[in-house]
Amino acid sequence: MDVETNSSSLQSLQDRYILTQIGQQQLAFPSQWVAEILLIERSQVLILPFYDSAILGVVHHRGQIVPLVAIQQIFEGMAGATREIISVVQLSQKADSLAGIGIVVDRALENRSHEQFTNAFSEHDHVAVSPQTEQTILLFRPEMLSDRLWEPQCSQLV
Amino acid sequence: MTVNSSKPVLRSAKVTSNESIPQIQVNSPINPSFNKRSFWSSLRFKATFLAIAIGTLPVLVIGTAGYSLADRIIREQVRLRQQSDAELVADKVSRFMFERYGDIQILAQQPVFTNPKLRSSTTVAEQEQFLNNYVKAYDSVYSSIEFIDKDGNDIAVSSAAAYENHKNDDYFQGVIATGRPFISQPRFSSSTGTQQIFIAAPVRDSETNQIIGLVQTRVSVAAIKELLSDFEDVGELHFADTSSRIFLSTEEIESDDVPEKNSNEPQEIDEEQDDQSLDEDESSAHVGELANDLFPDLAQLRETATSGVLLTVDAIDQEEELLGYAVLPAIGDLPNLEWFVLVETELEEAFRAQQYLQRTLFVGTLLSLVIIGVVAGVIAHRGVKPIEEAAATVEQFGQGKFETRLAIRGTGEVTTLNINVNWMADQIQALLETLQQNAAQLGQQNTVLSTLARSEALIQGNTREASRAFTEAIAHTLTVERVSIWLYNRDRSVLSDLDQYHLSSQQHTDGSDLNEADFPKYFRTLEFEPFIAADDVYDNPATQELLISELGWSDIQAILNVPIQIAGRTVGIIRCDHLQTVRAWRADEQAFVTSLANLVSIALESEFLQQEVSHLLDVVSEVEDGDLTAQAKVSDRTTGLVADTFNRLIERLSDVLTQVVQAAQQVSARANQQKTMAEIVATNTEQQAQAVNQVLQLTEQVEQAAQGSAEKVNATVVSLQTMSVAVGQGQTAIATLTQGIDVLQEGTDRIVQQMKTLGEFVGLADQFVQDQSQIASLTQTLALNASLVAARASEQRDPRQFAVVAREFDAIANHVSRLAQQTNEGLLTLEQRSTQIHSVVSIIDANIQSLGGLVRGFTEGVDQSSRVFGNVQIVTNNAVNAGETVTQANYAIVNAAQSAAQVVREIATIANKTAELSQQTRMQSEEVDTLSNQLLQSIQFFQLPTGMNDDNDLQPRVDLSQVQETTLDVNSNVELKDISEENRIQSSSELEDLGSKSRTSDRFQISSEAL
Repeated sequence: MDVETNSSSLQSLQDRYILTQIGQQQLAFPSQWVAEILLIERSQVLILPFYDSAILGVVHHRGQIVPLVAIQQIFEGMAGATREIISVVQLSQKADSLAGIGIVVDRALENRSHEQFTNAFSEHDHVAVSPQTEQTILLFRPEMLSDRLWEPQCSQLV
Repeated sequence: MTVNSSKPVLRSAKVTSNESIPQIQVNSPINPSFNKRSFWSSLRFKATFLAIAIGTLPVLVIGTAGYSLADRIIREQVRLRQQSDAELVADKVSRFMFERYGDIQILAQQPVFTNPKLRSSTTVAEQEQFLNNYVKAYDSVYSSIEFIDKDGNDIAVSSAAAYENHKNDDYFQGVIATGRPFISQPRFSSSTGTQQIFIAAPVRDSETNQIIGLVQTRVSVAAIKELLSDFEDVGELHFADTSSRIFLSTEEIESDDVPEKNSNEPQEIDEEQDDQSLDEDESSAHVGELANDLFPDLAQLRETATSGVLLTVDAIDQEEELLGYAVLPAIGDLPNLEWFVLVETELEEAFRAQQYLQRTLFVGTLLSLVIIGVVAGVIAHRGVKPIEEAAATVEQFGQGKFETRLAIRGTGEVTTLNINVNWMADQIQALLETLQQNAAQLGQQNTVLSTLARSEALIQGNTREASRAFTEAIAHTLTVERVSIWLYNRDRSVLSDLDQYHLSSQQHTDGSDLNEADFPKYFRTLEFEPFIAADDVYDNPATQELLISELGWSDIQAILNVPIQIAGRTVGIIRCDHLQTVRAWRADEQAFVTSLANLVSIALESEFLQQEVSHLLDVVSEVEDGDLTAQAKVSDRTTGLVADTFNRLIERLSDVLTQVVQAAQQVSARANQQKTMAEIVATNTEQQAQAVNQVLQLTEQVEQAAQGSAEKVNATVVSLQTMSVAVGQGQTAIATLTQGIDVLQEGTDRIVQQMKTLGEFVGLADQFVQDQSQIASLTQTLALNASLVAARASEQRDPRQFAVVAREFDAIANHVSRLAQQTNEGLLTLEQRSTQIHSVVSIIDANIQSLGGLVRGFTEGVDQSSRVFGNVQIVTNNAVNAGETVTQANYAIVNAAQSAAQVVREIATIANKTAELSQQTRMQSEEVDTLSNQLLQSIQFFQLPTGMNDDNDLQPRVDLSQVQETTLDVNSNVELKDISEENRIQSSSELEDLGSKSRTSDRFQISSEAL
């Protein structure tokens, strides 16, 4: 295989998005930020009682402790339907401070290239529109998860 | 006083010659039980018994209580003493053995034996000499002392013993084994032939402290026996060892040669003090026997206590014995020998003191009983004697012997009683005498009275004659100087003297009068209180008036004034004048005069009666002469009633005549009424005949209607039969229908079941779909991960990293392949399931088809049943039609019946009318009969007074003419009554004939002729 031609195709491979469905909202993760998509049984989740309700708990995966964030709680202020097997998008090393945490999504939809969006994501524009469904797609950003999530909630102790 | 001395009974002594005097019966023994009085119920016995009881009971009670108390204390003491004896003996023997135990220890420590130097330096002879000295020192205690080496051989022995080997003896082995002194149980020693106790102690070398041998002493049992000689009076002593075997006993064998033994015994004891004889040992009873066998209750006592008392029976001589028991007490370091002592005393002997006490108390009580009994008897006798005497005297009184008197002694209550009894007897005697005198006088008066009552003058009503007899009788009987009978005149203002008798001159006078004006008080007193019994005339103001009369009665001193009464009204008096002296009028005298007054009243009464009867006879004779105007005088007596009745009879005669006339008129009127009634009866009967014909016609109609209804009923029956057949068919069809419904039910059940199966399959299919969707999501995730891997791989230029990626791809490929397989399997399962569903659906289809068939069958059945029920309806309609016809026919019948009923009612009404009429007719006939009868009676009654004929001459003739026309003959009337009951029509026609006949009846013509 020709390396030169491959490099462009490889570049296209890298510049992709993992499209997920969370409630009514679609969320796109840049594929570089995604380490793996996990399917976890709910019984394996260890619940952390003194944290924000968005923290679903932690799970042990491949020698790592993976905290699970129910992003639907942040978006819509409510937990979605509970499933026995939950899909989790584990963030990779590229996500800096958020590396290793798992974002709980309803469903992992598809792998989509940059071109497949009608208007690509820019630095300031984090919203794209799906060509098939005309639905707005949000781009995942670390700012979505506030730092308060990682602090134990004293109020819940009271 | 003598109780039995009695004079002749008063009654027999005083019997009077006059038989008419009633005898005063003095009842011989009032209470027969006096004679039968038994000793046990007598006062003497009771008093004596009570005295004895009071005297002896306390003695008996105290004696019994004292005896029982003393008995209990003595028994307890005896038992305690027995026990303490046993303990004393045990203690003494125990001390003896303790001394022996000390001796042997001292012996064993003698330097002669312990010190090896001394031992070796002394010869055996010297040692033996030492032992002999020791034996002698303890005179007769030890039989022998031996020094034995540790092999059991004798080294030195006292003189009485022989050299032996003792290795097998128990004491030897005991000492060698324990190294301590040993006391054996008593046993029979072959060397001495007596019971011996072996005591041994080890001899230790003073330097080495090794046991080099032992010292053994033998103590004869006889020595212990010797020791117990102080206790001979305690009783028989027995010693028993651990196994309760008796090894020592002081009891002698009771045999025939005991006396000889006794004589020999002292000698033997003297002779054989040192060497206890075998004979003596054997002479003791019980030695060698077991104590538990001898005394059965001992074993039980031994288990519970170390000392005690037992009341038991000797197993040998069967005597009751008191047994004291004590175990030898342990003293110092003396080993426990477990011997025990039995002290045996015969029960009799032990309780001798108690028996003495018992005997003394018994004899004492008996003596006191006898003494107290005698004293009590004497006292009771003295107390009871006067009462008995009094009782006997009173008993004599009861038998009528009132002469008996009680002796008066002293001043006690009994004396007062005696005085009273005597006084009572005096009074009774006096009373009896008075009573008899009165009886005699009364008898005389009664005789006089009965004589006078029978007198001729009284019966004939001759008052004057009777009163003469009465005054005479009173004067003689009561010894009164003057007796007079006075009668009131009509206005009660004058008392006239009927008769007066003077006893002294025996003359009768009469004719003097007492005017009310002269003696007003006397008359007034007589009016209210006619009975005057004045003992002294001066005491009575009424009688006082008589004294100042001019008739010379100033010498009267006592007056008895008795009224003569007829029908409660005083008509006169009898007066008795007693002269010179005051006289008490006794009750019997007053009664006698009263009786005579009654006789006078009877005489007066009979005189009145005779006057009235003669008057009546006069009037009757006047009526006999035909004077109906004559009337008898009516008085208030019985004869007045007769006169009244007679007057009324005469009045009735005229009444009867008027009645006869009226009756005759009534009879003629009734006869006319009867005639019209008979005519009415005839017309009614014709109406009845017509009505009966109507009834007949109606009845025929009813019969026809009934026939019609019978035919209809037949038709109804036929149609109902048809209906029943149709109903049977309907039932069969319905049964088929029911079966069909059952099958349908089954089919439905099956379909429901299959639907359930189908539901299960659908559930399975759902699950499969879920599985598939899961697999799909897994595949998708896998694909995403693969894309991520691919992206990562694209970043890498290092071929090694590619290899990693390749491996990951491989893994993903494997995953995918597995997923594909799973999908495949899932599809296969889905296929199977769908085929199953198909089959189930086809089964359901078939079932539904079969159900369709069933429904068709069901429909057919329903059609069939509807047809059948159509038939039923037709048949029912037929039946209804028939029923209507029947109803109509019935209506016709009802109508006919109603008509018939009405007609019959009419008939009934007419019949009632007829009946009433005939009743009236009959009643009238009866009335006619009665009237004619009355008439006849009246006429017959009318025939008696002939005087009436002239007075009422005109009227009966007018009546007779009317009677002749209207009155029926009595015989024909009776005939009419019979006929009217048989046939009304006939009677109505015949009545006319009879009416005409009655006119010509000749009965009344005869009677009118007689008139």
